[in-house]
Amino acid sequence: MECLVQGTSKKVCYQITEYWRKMAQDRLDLPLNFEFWLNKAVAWGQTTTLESQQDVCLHLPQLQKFLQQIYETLKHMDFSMAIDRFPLIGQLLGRLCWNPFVIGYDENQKILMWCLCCLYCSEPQNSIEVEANIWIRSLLCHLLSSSKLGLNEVGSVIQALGYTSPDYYPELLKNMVLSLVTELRVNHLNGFSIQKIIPERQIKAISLLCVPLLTLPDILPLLEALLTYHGGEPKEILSSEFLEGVNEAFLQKKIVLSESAVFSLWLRHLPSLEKATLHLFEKLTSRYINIPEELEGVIKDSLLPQAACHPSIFRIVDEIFRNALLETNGTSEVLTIIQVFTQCFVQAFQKDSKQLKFPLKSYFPYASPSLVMILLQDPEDLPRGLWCQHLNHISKTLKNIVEDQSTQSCGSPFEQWFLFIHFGEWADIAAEELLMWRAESPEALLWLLAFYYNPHDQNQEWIQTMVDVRAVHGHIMKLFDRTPLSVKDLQAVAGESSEDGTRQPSTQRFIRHLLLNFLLFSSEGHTIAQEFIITQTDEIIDEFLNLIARAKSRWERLGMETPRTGKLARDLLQELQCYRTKHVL
Amino acid sequence: MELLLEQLELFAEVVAVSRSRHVDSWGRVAVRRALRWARYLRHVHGRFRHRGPVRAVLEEGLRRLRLRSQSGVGDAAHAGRCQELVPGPLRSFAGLGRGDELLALGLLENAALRGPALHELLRHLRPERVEPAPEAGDEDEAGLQDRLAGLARRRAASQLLLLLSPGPAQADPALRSTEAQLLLRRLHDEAEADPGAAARLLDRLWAQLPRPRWLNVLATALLLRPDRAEGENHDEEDPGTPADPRQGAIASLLAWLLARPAALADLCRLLPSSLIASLAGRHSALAEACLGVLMNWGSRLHFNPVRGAWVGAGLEGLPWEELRDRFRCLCQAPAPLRDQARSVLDTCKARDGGFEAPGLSVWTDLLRDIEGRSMLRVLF
Repeated sequence: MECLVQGTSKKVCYQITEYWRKMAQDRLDLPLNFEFWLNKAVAWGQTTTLESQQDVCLHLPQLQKFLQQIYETLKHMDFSMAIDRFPLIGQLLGRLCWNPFVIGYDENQKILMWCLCCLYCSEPQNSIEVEANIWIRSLLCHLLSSSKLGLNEVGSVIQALGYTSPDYYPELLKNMVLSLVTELRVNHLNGFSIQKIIPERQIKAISLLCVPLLTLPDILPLLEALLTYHGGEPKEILSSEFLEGVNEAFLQKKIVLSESAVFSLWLRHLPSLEKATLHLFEKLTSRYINIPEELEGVIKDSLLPQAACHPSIFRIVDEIFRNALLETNGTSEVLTIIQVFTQCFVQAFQKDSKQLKFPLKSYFPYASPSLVMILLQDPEDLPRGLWCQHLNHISKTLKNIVEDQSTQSCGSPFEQWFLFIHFGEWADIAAEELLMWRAESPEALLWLLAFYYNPHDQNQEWIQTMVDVRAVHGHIMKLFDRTPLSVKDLQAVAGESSEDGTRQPSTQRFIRHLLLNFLLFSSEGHTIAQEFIITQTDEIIDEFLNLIARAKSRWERLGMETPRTGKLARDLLQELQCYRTKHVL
Repeated sequence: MELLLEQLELFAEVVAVSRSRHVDSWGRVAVRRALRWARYLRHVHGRFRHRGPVRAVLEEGLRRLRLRSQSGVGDAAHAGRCQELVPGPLRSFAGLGRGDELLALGLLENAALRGPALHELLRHLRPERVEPAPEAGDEDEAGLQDRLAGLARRRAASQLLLLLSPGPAQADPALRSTEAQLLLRRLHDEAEADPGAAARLLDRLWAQLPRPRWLNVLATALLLRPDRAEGENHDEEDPGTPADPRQGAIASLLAWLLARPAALADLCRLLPSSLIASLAGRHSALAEACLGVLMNWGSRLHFNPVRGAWVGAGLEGLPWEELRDRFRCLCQAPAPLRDQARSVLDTCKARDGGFEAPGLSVWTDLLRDIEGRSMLRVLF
């Protein structure tokens, strides 16, 4: 449990850091903080030192926001009004236009061009305006590189050839990128030898110079070469600004990187991996996605399950899942996410078979290896008639490990439960098998499902839970014969009548899971399913939605959907989703 | 099609005027019209880019147009004078799509353009257009801004990467190979219009550009791989480009060089030995020619017994040490160049009588030196 505590405190620390970062950002977002940016522009100068380069890179996103605000103000003004409002605007724009870091970043150059175009007077009224026009024109020429092509001697060759800057710069950039990529490759091949074309410290400088240019497609081969480059020393040789920037651009889908480059980024830079995982989590929970197929699409698109084939990535992602599970007290939404993520991971892991595979132990170091092997069994590869037997086997193995307190080799019961959660499909199957009359004795399956919902240590509470679920299971089985069936009958079983109010919330979730399956499989249940579900609280309706979506997706995958249950599940999903959407609005 | 070609010819003149002092007569309307014209040609480019047959006809027309303008059969004498001002790429199919950029940049840097006309141009570079654009011009308008901004961004990017260059920026190999690629592209375009045009262009550039640097560009161009993969092709989706435009251009550059003894001599004298060896290794005809030049210089040296050294090759030739470096590099190159250089030295030595004593034949001494036995060690 110690790591749980650690994990939780890590999460809290993260939240505090995020809070302070947002506070700091808000302060910078204050409208038209002109003086601040002018001072920055002066301090940056030609940005020749590493420190000033780092400082520019750090401020680029905010600077762009600021420039956008300036333009929004300027566009409604003529030159004299603009000078009245911002007497030092010329100094600011002039300095920024000469800073390649600023010009290279995202849309800065475009906004600067707009600002300069705004300030140009069509009919200058006095000598200041005439002077200003000349200045604006020369600055625009400089910015758009129409004059002189920057380097005099080079310019003369290109001009003599009859080419202009639009022909020249894209080619030049391509060649520069190509030559750096080649040099990095040669460096890499030379391995530990001292004979390197680019010294290691210069690689950091290259990575920093790339920060403003990350979203420029021309630079992509260089980004990939840097990300997959490792120096001779264990210390990180790429600048953290670069690594954070690449990760952010990738998550925002502003750049498309090869899988190997992304994996390399996450392996070498932990904050990026954490951010990518939280980003995925936010994406999965912020929108109303509860269909496993949709979840699967979003999850695979994140490249995280594929990256998780590397155990160290898997364990970081898993640690974050663990925190989410604890923070939310294991809502069925989070359970579904972990379950679908694991399915995607297993697919990637099995597909990856050609490459060097890591042993399963390295992914689940705290869990019993035999349990991992049993849980990994895909129900699709097992005849349906053997599912119950397999579930009994899972139940028996889990129970042995959990109850055998003397052997501590396999980690705490929580660890076994956390492992079981990943393969929650077996719990869902157990909940179905319990109502199918297939289980010879329901005891093992009841224990398994009870453990799924309540992983606490064996104690008095647990004994009570088992007594409860046995009784409820018996009740539900009797309901199959009852006609007509009423919502009240179900509510009675669900423990919504007053005398059962003392039941554990986890036990109630267990019972709801069984009840839902009853509604799906019994002929009478069909008629009152919706009526029963909408009498519940929003939270419970969401839980039902998750369970139905999971069941439907599993039936489709395993080809076990019957027309009747399939239709009911589809209708229920649709209606409940409509109901929930209306309710939220 | 003829109409389109005529329009293109006229637009080329418009661009030429936009870069000349005659632009002082332009007002707002002229700028607006010129930009609209450029947009139209861009539209044509977009429409026919993927349509091979139409495009091929258009390209053939453009070639004829280039030929006509080069032979001076231009309609307007004034436009003829301006021909030099028309950027080369404008007279190619890819250039059709870039007319607006060339026009805007030309106008911007032309000091003769008056205030209101420039104001009109700048109005087109802002996100909110005052004038409604009826013929789906909005997208292109944004396109022009984006492309100009993209250009500024790429320039900034190359400036940033140049910060990494250890030496002076001009010496960066990427700069040189870019110039070399553009040279080959231009040679290819010229040769398509008229086989003699490439040589004329090279003669003009030879007279115009600073010598050691331009020679470096020529050498880099001769060493470029005739490879499409490096992206020589300026229009990636171009279906009409021959499989290897670079190879032809390299051949015409080589032919020009071999027919110009002065240029060849400068190449042997001014470029570093290792570069000469690489060039000779790549092009056997050049190897022969260079060895001929070096042989000639060697035979003009004579031994000064007082100084104990070979001296006096005249202004055109090379001092002994540099001649030795050239031969040393050539003899260290991979076969067959190595053998070729060796055989030249051996033949010359035999011609001089094949003596082994130092100071009698420059070739004997060169051979000795290259074989690692310095003259000093033999003498003392």
